[in-house]
Amino acid sequence: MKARFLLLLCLLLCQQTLAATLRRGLGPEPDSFDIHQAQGLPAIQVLRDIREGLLTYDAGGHVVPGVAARWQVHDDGRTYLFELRHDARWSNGDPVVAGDFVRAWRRALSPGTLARTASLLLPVVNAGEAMKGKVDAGALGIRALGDDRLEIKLTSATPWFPEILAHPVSFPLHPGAADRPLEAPVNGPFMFDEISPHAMIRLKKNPYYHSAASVGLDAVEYFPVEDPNSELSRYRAGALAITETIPAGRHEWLSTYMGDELRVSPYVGSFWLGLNLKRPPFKGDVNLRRALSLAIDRRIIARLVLGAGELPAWSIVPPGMAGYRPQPFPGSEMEQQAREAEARKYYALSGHGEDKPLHVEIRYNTSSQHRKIALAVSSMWRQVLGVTSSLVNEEWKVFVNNRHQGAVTQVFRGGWIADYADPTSFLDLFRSDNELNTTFYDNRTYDRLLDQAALLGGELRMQRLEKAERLLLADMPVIPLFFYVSRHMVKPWVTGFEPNIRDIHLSRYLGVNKTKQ
Amino acid sequence: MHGSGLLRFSLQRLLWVLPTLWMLITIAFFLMRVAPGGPFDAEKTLLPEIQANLNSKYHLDESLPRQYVRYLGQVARLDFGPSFQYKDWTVNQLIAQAFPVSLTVGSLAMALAFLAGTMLGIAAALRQNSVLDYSLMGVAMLGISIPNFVIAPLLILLLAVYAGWLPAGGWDWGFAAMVLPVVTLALPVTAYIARLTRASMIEVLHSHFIRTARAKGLPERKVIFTHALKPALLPVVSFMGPATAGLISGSVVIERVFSIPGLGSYFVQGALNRDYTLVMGVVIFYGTLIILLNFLVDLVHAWLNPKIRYDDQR
Amino acid sequence: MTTNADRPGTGAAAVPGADGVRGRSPRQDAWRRLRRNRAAVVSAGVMGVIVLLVLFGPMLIAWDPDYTDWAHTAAPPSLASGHWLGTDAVGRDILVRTLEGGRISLLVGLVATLVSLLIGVGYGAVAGYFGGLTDRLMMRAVDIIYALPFMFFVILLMVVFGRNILLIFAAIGAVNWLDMSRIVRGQTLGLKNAEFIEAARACGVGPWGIIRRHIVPNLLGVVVVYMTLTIPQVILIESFLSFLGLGVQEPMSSWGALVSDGAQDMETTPWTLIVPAVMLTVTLYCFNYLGDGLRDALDPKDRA
Repeated sequence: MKARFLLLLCLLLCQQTLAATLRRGLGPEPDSFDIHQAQGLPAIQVLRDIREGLLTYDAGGHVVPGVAARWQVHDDGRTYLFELRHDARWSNGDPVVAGDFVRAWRRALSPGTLARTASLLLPVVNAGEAMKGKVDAGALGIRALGDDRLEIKLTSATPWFPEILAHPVSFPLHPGAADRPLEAPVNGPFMFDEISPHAMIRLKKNPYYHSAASVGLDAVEYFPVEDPNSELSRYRAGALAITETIPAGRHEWLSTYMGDELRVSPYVGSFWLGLNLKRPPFKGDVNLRRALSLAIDRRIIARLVLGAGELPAWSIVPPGMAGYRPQPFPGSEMEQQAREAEARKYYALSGHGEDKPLHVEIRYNTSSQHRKIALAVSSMWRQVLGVTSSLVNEEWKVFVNNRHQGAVTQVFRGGWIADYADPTSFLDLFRSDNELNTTFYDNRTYDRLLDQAALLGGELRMQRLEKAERLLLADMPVIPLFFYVSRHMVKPWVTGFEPNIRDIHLSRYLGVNKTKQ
Repeated sequence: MHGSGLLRFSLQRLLWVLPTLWMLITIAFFLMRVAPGGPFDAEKTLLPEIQANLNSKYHLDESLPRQYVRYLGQVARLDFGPSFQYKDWTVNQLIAQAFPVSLTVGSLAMALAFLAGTMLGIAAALRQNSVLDYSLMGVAMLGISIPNFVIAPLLILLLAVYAGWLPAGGWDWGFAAMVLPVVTLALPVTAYIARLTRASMIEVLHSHFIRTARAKGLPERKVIFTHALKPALLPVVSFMGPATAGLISGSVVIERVFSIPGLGSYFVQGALNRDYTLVMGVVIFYGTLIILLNFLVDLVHAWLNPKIRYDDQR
Repeated sequence: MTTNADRPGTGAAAVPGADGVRGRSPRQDAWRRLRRNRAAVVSAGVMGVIVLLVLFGPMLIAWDPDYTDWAHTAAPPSLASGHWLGTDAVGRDILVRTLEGGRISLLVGLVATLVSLLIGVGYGAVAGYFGGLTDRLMMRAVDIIYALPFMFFVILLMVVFGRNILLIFAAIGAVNWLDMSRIVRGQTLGLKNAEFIEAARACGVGPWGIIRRHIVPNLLGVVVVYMTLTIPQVILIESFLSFLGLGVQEPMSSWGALVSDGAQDMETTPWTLIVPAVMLTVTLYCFNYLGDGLRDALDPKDRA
């Protein structure tokens, strides 16, 4: 018995020294590994490890060439010509050819096999029409010019389009087994080794990957863990090397006791309180909206309630967008006392007061962090303005549905994490015709400004967008609260982990330094 | 009488299984559909074309009765359909993977709870109102009074994080990974069973026929184990059916805290995600299981209590 | 002629005997036994104190349960800050919140248990006594309801009818009666063939009379014990609901919600867990010993 145990131990240790395996926390269970069905961040994270598109990311989260060796942009930014690498291969040895991209995109935009995230490909010529079935998929603005050349045509210059080419929705597909995502050949640095739903997803190194030599790991094991507290415990017990997040309210403790393993970074995400402009009390009452916004002490929320380095937000678009200047709304430079006085002023202007008190419902989906924020906001409104509120905690599906319908919502938790690092990722949300506009903000001037910006480039474009945001904030359909940060615990012997604003940490850049383990 | 009565009893009970299952499926089906929120509600709302596409693919655009009939047909072929939430898997595959896990954890926990619970309960009953009795019941009460979402993280903290003796979660079919979940799951049930056994044992020990047995001069050991035990266990056995079924479906908290890929978490997540097919599949599975278990429990109950006659006619 | 031992719970006062000694009724017997059980008495006393604290405490404490003291967030217990048992992550006083939460928890325990008791005992006794087809049909229904995901029932009810706290009571009670009915049915099956029941039947007592006057009182022991098991179970179910975000809504709280929140932060702010957990545990303990005392006191077989 003991001999067997020792033998097993030996084998395990030997395996450790031979195979460099990284164990990472993943968050919730991935929804699908079909590049056209995956919508949640966990699935997309794994997909980025096993597949690669025309472009990809480097360790610092910047967009760099992937399958594409080089490319040119013509026609004022409307035509892209890609030259593919000659050593790009699928995991069964077949070369990756331009036709693989064309086939995949046609699948993504055909009505029968529509991708969940197909809206990201809308800038492509005929994309919208193909989705509705009005044109044949062959009319799509993507063409293979031989095996190693690809041409993509857009309806208008879209500066952020390259980043879409690093998103799984634009990845290529091998001709065989397209509908069996767990078995199909892949072209990324890793490939599936073993999948146990809800337990573990094991990836092994893909020997046919074009840069396989630079991949430092032999295997990656992803562990979906729903509860951040459990994830942290497993990390501390040594079962995980990287966590997906840290539990709410733990930042201070972790930075005191495990500070060198805590990696925090600003993130392209913005958190705000949405206001339903379709219903009372916010319909047509900008003074009330301003009052509620000014009454909140964002510094307290960022420091005490959140405490992980989140930045108080006075605008919608988070910092870090190249070329874009943050547009804090008036009142951001004041002292909190002065702000609260302003708030009371606006509150009175809106006709509310002791004889006409306001009562609102604050809706949020089940989450410890959201609850704390709602409590803090509710308390601030009561203490500064005398506004009473009831907190409505809903499960995700119901919450999203209610927000979308807009029939019962008043104040609700809102926010956005950008798909691509451009201000329009946030500003487009408030277009009057956008399905995702859960505030029902309807300002045609705003829409026009965005349309105009789409036709401009460079500095002029940014200025137009900044003007749009200023207009938006003057109307205050949402109350910005803070900008997200990404938080991870990373063991000291993990190499290559660089905190970045997109929070993308491809496993191919990571390694385990065994001497430190 | 014993043998043929038992057989007739079994057949009678089995005959009820199908209509029961049918009722179960029907109620659950309509309940799930009535709940607000649908399986495709997500933050990044889908384009209408995509929404329509999905609805037709999953037949959600058909009338409710048609969907119902279609679903019944599928179930008859033991096909529970694809999962709405975990799109790469069918419900059959997910249940097939999750059930053995829940079964293992659940049955080990139940076995542990039964053995430990009855032993503690009998010991306490035999020394009624003594220090042992009070301390045993005191400890048992602790097991009931503290929720398992407190005990579980506490144990993880002490035994996995600080001491490093056991893993802090996860499931690899290894013994180490089973210890904490099984023990945590078993604790409240052990406490219940201990209390139930004690109460029942005390009642039985005060009954006439035990007094008779003692008066006859039978050794105490014989009195307890041969005569008192069976009737004392009756309420415990009644409790076992629902208790085991509940355990096997997986304690949601245990599975969440220990990251165990069992049925319990599919249960709740499915309802929250409005994953209709998954919830239905688990419900039918669960239902069949309970019906079978109750059947077994009734058999054991009848065996233990000869006063109940199988061919009960009124 | 039936003796006292076979007709429990009638409470008829005995007629003074020839030597003028006043007899004792079973009820008086029971009361005496209860009073002699020290654990039960102490528990009743502690329960009384807790109920008083929970009802009147919040009025006497300076802090509002809703008040967020931004100067003292996540503060440990201290006399200096005025927060004797500390504050939570948003600066609300733990002591006052725990006492307020007690109101809700005790209410949940009481109401839901009563609901499950009424339904469960009635249902189980009827099913067990009538037996046959009635029994089978009734138990089938129990099986069906039991097999439906409880979680889902409650989610549905919460969403369709709103987060009414009374609804939480009803929902929990409506699901919990199943176990009670099974146990009661089991016991009834055993009881109904007892001699005294046959005797009552021979006297011409109808089935409902038998159920009401003979079966149910004889179940009292098991039912009382099971009830004291149910109350903590109910309170725990509520805490579980709170854990999933379906219990009482903020800013109302219950011990279950407080404990579930505290458990998340047990390493950083242990007082947010310990205070409500201790209150919860002590209360459940007291119910327990009280229930035990009641059972011992009411045990009809125990005639010295």
